Amino acid sequence: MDLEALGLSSRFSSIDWVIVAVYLTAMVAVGFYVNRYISSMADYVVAGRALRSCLAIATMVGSELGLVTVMYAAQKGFTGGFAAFHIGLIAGLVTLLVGLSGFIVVPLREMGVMTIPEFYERRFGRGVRVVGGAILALAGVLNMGLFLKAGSLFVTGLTGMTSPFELKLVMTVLLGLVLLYTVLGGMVSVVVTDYLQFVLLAFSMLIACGLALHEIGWARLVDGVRSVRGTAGFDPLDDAGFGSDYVIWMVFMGLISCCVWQTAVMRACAAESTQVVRRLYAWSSIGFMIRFLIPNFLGVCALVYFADHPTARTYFVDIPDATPEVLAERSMQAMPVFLSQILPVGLIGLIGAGMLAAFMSTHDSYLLCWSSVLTQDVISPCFGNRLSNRTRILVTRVLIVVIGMFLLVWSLWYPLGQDLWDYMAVTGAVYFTGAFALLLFGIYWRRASRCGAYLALLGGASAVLGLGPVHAALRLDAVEAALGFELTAARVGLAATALCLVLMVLGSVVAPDRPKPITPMESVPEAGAA
Amino acid sequence: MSWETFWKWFLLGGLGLFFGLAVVVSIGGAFDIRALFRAMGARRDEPRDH
Repeated sequence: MDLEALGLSSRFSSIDWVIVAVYLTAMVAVGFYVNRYISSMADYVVAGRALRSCLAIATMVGSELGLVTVMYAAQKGFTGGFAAFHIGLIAGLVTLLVGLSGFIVVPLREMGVMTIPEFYERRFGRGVRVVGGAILALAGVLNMGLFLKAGSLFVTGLTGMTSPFELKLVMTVLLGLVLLYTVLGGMVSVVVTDYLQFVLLAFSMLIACGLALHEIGWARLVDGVRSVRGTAGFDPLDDAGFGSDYVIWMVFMGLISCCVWQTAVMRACAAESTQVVRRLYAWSSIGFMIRFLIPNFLGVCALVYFADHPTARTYFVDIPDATPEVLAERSMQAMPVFLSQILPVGLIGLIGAGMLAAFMSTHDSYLLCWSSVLTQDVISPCFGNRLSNRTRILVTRVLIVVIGMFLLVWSLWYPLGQDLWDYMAVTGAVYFTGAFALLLFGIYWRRASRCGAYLALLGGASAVLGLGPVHAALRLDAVEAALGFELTAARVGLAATALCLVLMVLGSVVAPDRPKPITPMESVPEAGAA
Repeated sequence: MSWETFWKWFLLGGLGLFFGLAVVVSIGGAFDIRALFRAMGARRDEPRDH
């Protein structure tokens, strides 16, 4: 890509590079500093369960408002217009309801588990924990498989770097930095860096929104979206755009993101008390909404900006003979390139530093999350839970590096032919459709059985049919023609969820668990249900 | 109310709420970090005391 040939020279200067370098170095220094506070696996994974409200909210929002989130949400704003705002609206409302009701997260915190598979063991037995943990980690690693790609597109767009070598070098250095301080500091460094990232990113993103609105103006935004996307650019229920099934899928995604997705649940498990959990979710609902709203808005601004641009319109908006891969890549590049055109020197460096810190923050949260799930829920149970704290931390650190290497390869290889958000929803669904059934029935239905749990977990695998390459490999076009409707990612996800719920109920009714004496450990979920 | 008007007020309200949250959490979070380090420092030193 040669942006300068399109008249899109980036304003990113050497001063901005200095700002980025100083900020990222400070982040690594924090990782080194807090390493001395780690003395147990609980310190490493859930920060000793000592997070208070403000820090818990900052770290939860900081972790969720990552560069990848910003990229996929901006892409949704670019491709969907104002109608994409419904995703943030739903996410905020659902998170608020979870906070007010304590649905799922309060019983989990009461049990004192560190991971969701740990809940599986207490409720359904060790076998379910191992299978559930393996599926969770697999889906989670695939889910973050394109983080590096999104990060690389951001760096390219914002800085105007066009050399593929420079790009690969920057991404490798970034991954190295992330691995270094995640391995060193665990959850303590994650919460501290997430807090710093929250402060920088929250204010710089708000300023960016103000500048974008000032640059384009509200009336021009509305007219621009109407001319490019029509009424579907405003009405989320319009079938020419998102459509009602997508909106229902987003309601479910909102619920999953805050109370089933392991990285969010880890924050609930790390909270000081159940009161903090409720407060955390109620207040974080603003963050869950804003993490979509701000990037959606910047994506909408980028759409209108490039639709009116004399040379860039055919590159970003009306692309002749575009393949799905090209469309996906260009729509992701649009937001950072737009920022590189409107932000002044200095501020662009701060935004770049904040975004790259966000990139590292998301990466470290997810790396820590999936590696600790593999250690605690798959490897440790296989050794009869006899591994020492020191061994568990060592295994977790090794896994972080191995997963990091996999991500580098996957990001370069996988052909993304759909919106990044839809890719992430589908890969995540492999885990969370089954997990939702286990949590829902495990906590609130006494008769839920081990057989039902296994079936629901395996049923979640059907969600992979929503991935573009799988869709093409299985020639599902013929199935769509026979059915008379399109098998979109949203429809596949909803169908997989329904399948898991049905399998859980059927398995529990057909093969109930044998009654046995209630031990104090096993009585905990039932107490949570009461 | 039209979708344009609804999204306009949703955007302004959301940004305003987030600004308020960011100010409160930034200040409160700094105090919480101090408390976290103190708590974890005390726990780390425990084995040496006994």
